[in-house]
Amino acid sequence: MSGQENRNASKPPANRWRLWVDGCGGFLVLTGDRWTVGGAMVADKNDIAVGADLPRTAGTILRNDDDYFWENNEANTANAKPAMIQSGTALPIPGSARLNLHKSSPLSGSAVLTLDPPHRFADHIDAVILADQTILVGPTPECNVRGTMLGGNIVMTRRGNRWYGKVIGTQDLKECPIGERVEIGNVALTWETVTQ
Amino acid sequence: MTALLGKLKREKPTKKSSVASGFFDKDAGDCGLEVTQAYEPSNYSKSMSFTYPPGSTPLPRYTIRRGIGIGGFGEVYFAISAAGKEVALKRIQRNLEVELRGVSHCLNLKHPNLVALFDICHDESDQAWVVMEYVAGKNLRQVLDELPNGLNESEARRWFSAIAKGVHHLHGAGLVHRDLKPGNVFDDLGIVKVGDYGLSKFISSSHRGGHTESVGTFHYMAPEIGRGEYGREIDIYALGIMLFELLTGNVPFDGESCHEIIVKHMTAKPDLSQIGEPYRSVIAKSLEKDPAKRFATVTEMTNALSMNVDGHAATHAATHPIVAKLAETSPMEVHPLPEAQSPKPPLSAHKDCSPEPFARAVRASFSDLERWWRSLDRSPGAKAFLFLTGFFVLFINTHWLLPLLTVIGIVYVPYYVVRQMVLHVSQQPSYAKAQASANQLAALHGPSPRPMTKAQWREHMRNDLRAKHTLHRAAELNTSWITATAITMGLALCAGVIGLRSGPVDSFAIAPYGAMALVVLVASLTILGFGKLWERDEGESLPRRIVLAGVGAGVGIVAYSAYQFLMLPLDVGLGREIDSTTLPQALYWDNEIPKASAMMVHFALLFSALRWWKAVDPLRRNRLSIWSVVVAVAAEWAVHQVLPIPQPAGILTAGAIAIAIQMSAPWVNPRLWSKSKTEPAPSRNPIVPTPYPANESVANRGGVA
Repeated sequence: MSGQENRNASKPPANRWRLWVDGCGGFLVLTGDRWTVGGAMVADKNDIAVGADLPRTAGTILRNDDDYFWENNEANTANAKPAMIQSGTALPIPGSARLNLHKSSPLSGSAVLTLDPPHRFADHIDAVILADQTILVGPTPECNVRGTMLGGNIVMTRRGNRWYGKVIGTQDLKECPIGERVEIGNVALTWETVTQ
Repeated sequence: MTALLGKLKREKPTKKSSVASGFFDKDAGDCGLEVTQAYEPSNYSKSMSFTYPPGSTPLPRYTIRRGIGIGGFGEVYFAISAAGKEVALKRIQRNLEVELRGVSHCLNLKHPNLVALFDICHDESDQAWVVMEYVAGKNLRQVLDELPNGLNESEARRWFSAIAKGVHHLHGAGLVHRDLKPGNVFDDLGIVKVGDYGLSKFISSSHRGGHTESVGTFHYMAPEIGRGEYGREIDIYALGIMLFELLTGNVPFDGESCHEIIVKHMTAKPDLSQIGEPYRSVIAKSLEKDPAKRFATVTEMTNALSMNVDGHAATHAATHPIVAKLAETSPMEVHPLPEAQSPKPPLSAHKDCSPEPFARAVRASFSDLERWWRSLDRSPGAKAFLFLTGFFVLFINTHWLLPLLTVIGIVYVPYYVVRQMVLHVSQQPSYAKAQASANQLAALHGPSPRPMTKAQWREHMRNDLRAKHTLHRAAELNTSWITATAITMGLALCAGVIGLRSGPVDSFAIAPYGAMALVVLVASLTILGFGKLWERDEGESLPRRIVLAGVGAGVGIVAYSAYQFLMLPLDVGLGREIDSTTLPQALYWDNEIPKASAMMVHFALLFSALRWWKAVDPLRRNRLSIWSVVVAVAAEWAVHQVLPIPQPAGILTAGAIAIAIQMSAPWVNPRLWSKSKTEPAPSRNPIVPTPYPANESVANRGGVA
């Protein structure tokens, strides 16, 4: 077993949710600090499954503080070092898909993964959110989930396995029950848990 | 009108008001139908309320994941089928028949550049749902918002070629899209697709136009749409607009209001100077006002751009007869608008309505002078010295400056008057069509959500006045003139009865009243005439005062001639309250009897001093304002202090003119506004604040005596 596989096997399972934002899109929300990326057509699921000609597991995205790194699964030699991923750049994954990482705000460690057309993520989502402490949702560019139709900026935060949200600038923290549509400010969204 | 403006705002293709894009903005671009029409301006600030939450299964095989948007016909959801197929579900809530009919006609269209419609299903409560292809990419509106200067040529050609292919296929199937715009074109993961053709309508050479729904978006709306008779040429027109926008990032006809945009569509020529060939000539031909002059087919248009759209085209010969038959057997679809509400096609190209060049130059010079004066870095004392020096130089040169200005005035004022008359009359049809189109479209948009404010009401009524047909305007003017004549006669009679109550009643005694009546009549008729020309807008005060000065000079000549003809004394009542200096020799004889020039200047001052057009404005506050009469009399008295004329004839004349023009000019009672606030508007034309059709003459509303 390679060192990479060892690391994958020993990592704590990432918590997974799906976030549906009306008038905006669907997102896979992942917590934790490392996530495997691979093709969607494989039996053993990766954290991030892409409907593209990717290997079974193409590599791993690591988060250290607020920085993100890519560790290629092929380069599993002892001296291989994870490469830092700059915001707005594509991950060096093999195949035809182009997977981009965006870190929208310096105030949030969360990042977002998007795919260039014509590829899509598995499970009907539009993007993957690598969630840190908070997720910003709103129409402005600094938001992790940006939808210009949205009526205002909200911030989502996690406590245990529950998500809470509030309109930025207010104190009223609202719980988001899993499976129920919640309106926070002018944003309507629904959280779902995802079992792997 | 609110609905119109709302639609305009949400579709205006500028970065400020349009649907900007983000990484995850699938909003307008998520699905094919109607999504781009989903977002009222209010939706920007409040969340969209969808009926079905995620996880719902209103249709057994489809699970809703999220709402996409709320369109003109209903809600649109992103859903996943039991087998994992991503679809957009459109719940038809409004205009059910129209929408279902449109969609059912398009169900079997197959083309890679068209958003596919899969099926129409009904849920347990018999609610209709349209199942359609889910488009995950951005729409062209979003792409253009990100690139405000337009796309590069190759990318623009990629988009346009695909759009043209899709539209060509629609036309080949006998359909007209009718709402082509960037918001309805999607990049579906690399494949450009045209959506939102639920509004499409079957059409053939024997069956054109007519529909109860509004068509298109203002920026992409062909000028003939307002008429209700249109064919696939409207799509050619919209394609021309979109090609322009793809290359430049802007639409060729933009404006601050729907009226302005519509007027530009109907009258203005697009500025194609920044576009190279062959695009320039293709766009120019596509945007011809006359549909017959445009490209007859999409193929013709794309051939001119060296594109080929025939690759996926439907077989015209196979589909057209069937379509025509369907259309003919569907009388429900045909709702031609009444003749009165249908604006005629544009007859003439855009006329120059820019300010008069000389006046513009003078104004610009004064403006430059003012800027120079303000920026002059001198102490207040030095500035005062400069000002006094300039004034002194002007004063010592009055001996040649005044005659020169007089000559210029004699030449310029008549020229200005004629120019104003000619230009205003020539502009009339365009405004009329614009208003009629706007009213017609507004009438199709459902009730106005809230009553108009008085300012809005006035603006609407002003637009209504602007839209009046020339014939109606002439008829009203004729009525006003007849009324003014009668009122003048009546006033003269009253004055005569009062003035001649004692003493002999002979021709010499009656003559002054006749002269006054003549002057009042000429002045009233002239003011009414210009008032009729100027009722279209509030207008600028200075040009109107200049014109009225010319009118006053003419009235002065008439007055002087009448006095001379009737051998009336001109030295009666010349006394003034103010002990002024010697009267100007150019205007008065040595014995202080006024010359013709004195009468001309006197009336010119009187006419230019007051805003007489306000007294004949149909939207004035009262039919007869005593205050206006008092002001006219006071103004005459003031002018008399400077340049005396026989009195009290002058004062009586001024007062009589004020009365006659107010009593004879059309008047829209402002109480109609308060009435329109409290009463529900008629459903046929809900935004019109009065219970009268938009094109009905104001004179027919009881405004003219």
